[in-house]
Amino acid sequence: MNPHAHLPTAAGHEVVVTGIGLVAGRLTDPEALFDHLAEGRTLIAEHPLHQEWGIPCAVSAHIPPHVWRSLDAAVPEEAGAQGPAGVLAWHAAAQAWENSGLPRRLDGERGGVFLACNRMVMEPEELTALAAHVDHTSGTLDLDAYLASDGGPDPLRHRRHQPDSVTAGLADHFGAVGVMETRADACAAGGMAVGSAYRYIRSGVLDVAIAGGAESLTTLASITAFHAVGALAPAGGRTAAEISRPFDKDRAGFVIGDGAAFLVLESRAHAEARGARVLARVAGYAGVTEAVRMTSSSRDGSDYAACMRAAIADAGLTPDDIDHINAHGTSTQANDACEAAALHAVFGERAARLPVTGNKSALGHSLANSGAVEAVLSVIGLQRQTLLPTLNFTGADEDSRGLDIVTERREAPVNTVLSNSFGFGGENCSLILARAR
Amino acid sequence: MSSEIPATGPAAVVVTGIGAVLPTGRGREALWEAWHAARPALTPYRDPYVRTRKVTHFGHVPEELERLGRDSVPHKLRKFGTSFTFNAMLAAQDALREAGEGWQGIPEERRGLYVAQDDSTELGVAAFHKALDRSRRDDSSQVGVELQRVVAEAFGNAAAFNPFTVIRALNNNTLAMVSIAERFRGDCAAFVQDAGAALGALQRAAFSLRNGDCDTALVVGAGSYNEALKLAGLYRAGHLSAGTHGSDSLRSFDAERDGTVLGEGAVAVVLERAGDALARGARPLVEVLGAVLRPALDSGVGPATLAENARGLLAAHGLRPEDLGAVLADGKGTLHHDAAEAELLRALLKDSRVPVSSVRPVLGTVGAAGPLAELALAPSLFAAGELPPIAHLRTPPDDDTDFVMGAARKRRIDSVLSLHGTFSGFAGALLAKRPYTT
Repeated sequence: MNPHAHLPTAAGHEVVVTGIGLVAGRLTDPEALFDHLAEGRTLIAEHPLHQEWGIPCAVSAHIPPHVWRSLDAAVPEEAGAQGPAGVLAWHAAAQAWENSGLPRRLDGERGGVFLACNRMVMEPEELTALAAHVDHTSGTLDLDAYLASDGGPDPLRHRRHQPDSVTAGLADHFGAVGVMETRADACAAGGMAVGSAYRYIRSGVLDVAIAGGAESLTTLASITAFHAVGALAPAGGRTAAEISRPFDKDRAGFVIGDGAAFLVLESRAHAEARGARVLARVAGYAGVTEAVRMTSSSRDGSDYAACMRAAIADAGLTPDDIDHINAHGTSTQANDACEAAALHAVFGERAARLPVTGNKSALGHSLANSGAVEAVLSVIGLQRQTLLPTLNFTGADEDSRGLDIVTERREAPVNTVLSNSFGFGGENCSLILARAR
Repeated sequence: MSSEIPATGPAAVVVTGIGAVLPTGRGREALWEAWHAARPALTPYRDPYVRTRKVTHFGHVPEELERLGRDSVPHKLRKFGTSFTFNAMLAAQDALREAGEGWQGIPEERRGLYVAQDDSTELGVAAFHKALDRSRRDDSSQVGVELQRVVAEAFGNAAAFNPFTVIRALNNNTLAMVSIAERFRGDCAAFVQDAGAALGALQRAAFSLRNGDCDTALVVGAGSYNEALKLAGLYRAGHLSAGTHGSDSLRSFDAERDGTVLGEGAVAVVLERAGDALARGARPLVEVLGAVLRPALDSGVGPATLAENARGLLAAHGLRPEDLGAVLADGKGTLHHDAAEAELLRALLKDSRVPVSSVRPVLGTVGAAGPLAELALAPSLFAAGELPPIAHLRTPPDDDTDFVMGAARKRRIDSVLSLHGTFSGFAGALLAKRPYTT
């Protein structure tokens, strides 16, 4: 691509959503997931194997084995060897592409792929194979013995574990090679992938982009790592479905989840020229570093607020124009407190009348995928004029007091949604999604 | 000045600062000197945790330089970082220093940060050592028949695990560390993996500058292939040299090549719009014209198509292949990659007699820092008027391409095209030229 040859001449092209697709838990299409959540149901369940192993936080929004098998079997042969996140990405991306009605392949350099995926970590099987080759006298690993063993890595391991190999495969498959980004902005990556695609289309560099996230981190390694840093919620005597409780007074951490979600974005001119059905619009975006701390934001919410204001301004709107908040809402004490403070700062007294939904109460936190799946759900919410509930919110604490946390499915006029994603390391993202017109 | 090379306009994207922490040492001059002297910085592989004779050599960042990197990081941030993020911090500081004092006057909210972090982002085996150790010391009767369960149980013990592992393992670790230490509070993007990520970060940085999303952009490429499972995976994939020629084992394009030598390091470049840079008194070092990135999977596009893409990149800037001053090939040294790249070079440069070299035999395959290292060499190429040779190249793949062998080639160089391939299925090119500003 030649990013310098095209750049913007005017206010920019309007960016519309023409396709959506996802995998979440046992559900493999967006409408089914929306209905599931609207009924107040969760995807969070006990993980049988993790429970058997006795590892901490043995609940997650994981993909059941039978769903894995069917998704794995459906990946086209040309995709080559795929890791778990790759399998999810291929399904969600292909579904979104089909949903958009675009031709099988694009021609030229006017399409792009934007994938958010943090990484694919080693599984217990690999650890077990390695364990046999650790020399505990010298405290070293005998790599050569590992390589010589039956349990050593296969020749495709490296490519299967690289997130960007998925990007290359999808770009090749759809003929969308104008811009290819593989984003790893921690928990903000999914929203940022969508935001980056929006910017390239708005500027005129691209006509079409498929943007989203895929994550498969309900694994032994990542659960233990997040537990060690104190981010995961303990069961605390609650059922699996009750543990994730964004903005609730008794929140105690997040529950990890798997999934993938993609949106097809187009310039309005491109979509209308082919008679595409417009599902919604992407109207604004901000993705910034706050440079405060590695693991938390400013307690007063000022950095989250700055990000939200920037996205609202990017859309040419004011805070009064926002009808719904799709919160990051991880259910950790610190994050929800900062986000609540930021909502009060940005929306003032209106915050009490501005409905807020935390999808992670039912979906868990799928990290790089979370911003993408929440964008997909926001698109459906705009279409149906329906707000999804935040499960397990039974009462506010000092931080979340004065917010309108949606606790049951609610019909409401919604023209604009502000969707937040905030990542470890201080990467913040806000998207503005708007009703189709 | 070459009359064919257009002047650098105020909206052009230029490099005003470069920092490098590489196996060749600190700074772009150290890299240039090593390349010019055909002096490989590849040394016998060493790691306190990994014993191996199959992985023979590696491009290690010198230990003293690693210490400097660590010392460059504010004390309160060190527990969150790894050696390669420390390298990136030092490279970023050096780049910002070269960009000049006036750079600090750019508002924090207008500083964009675009970071490519490569394969070292995967959790390392060493992080699991305590859990593995405990599993071996478990004398229960189930060990052996249920080793996996024992590993899992041991691993689940928080005491066996560093609490900051998840922070260190996140793929935006370098971006986070640099943003906090150097006060970047503007537009941002974290990319993975290796050379493709660096090209993506450069593209995005240039786009953001031209789009008005930031007024300066720091692009950082950093990482290390020194992690046991990555080394094992790449060894099994047949990508690594057997090390027969010692430190000279990475033999780009040579008939005796048998694989690459992996390495580590970090490079950072400060990008600005030329008009802004000149207005604050900064000196443009290189003009970045553009980059192209393509999937290059086994089932996908081949070298001929990639050559057309590179030709298109040149044409977008009014250049033909024969106008180039030099081509810096990737030259990983693997049988497969070099054969494909040689075909690409033939298709792109046929009859042009544009000289081709590669820094890879000296530097190693360094992942996300790679394309930025080639960009860091451009000012020296412009200033020296010579193109160093491909070290150790004795028998090139064909006579159609002008591979530089033996002595450096004297030649005025105003523009450089560098080529890049990845283990993940990408190929790309980066085009830069001498900045002409008044």
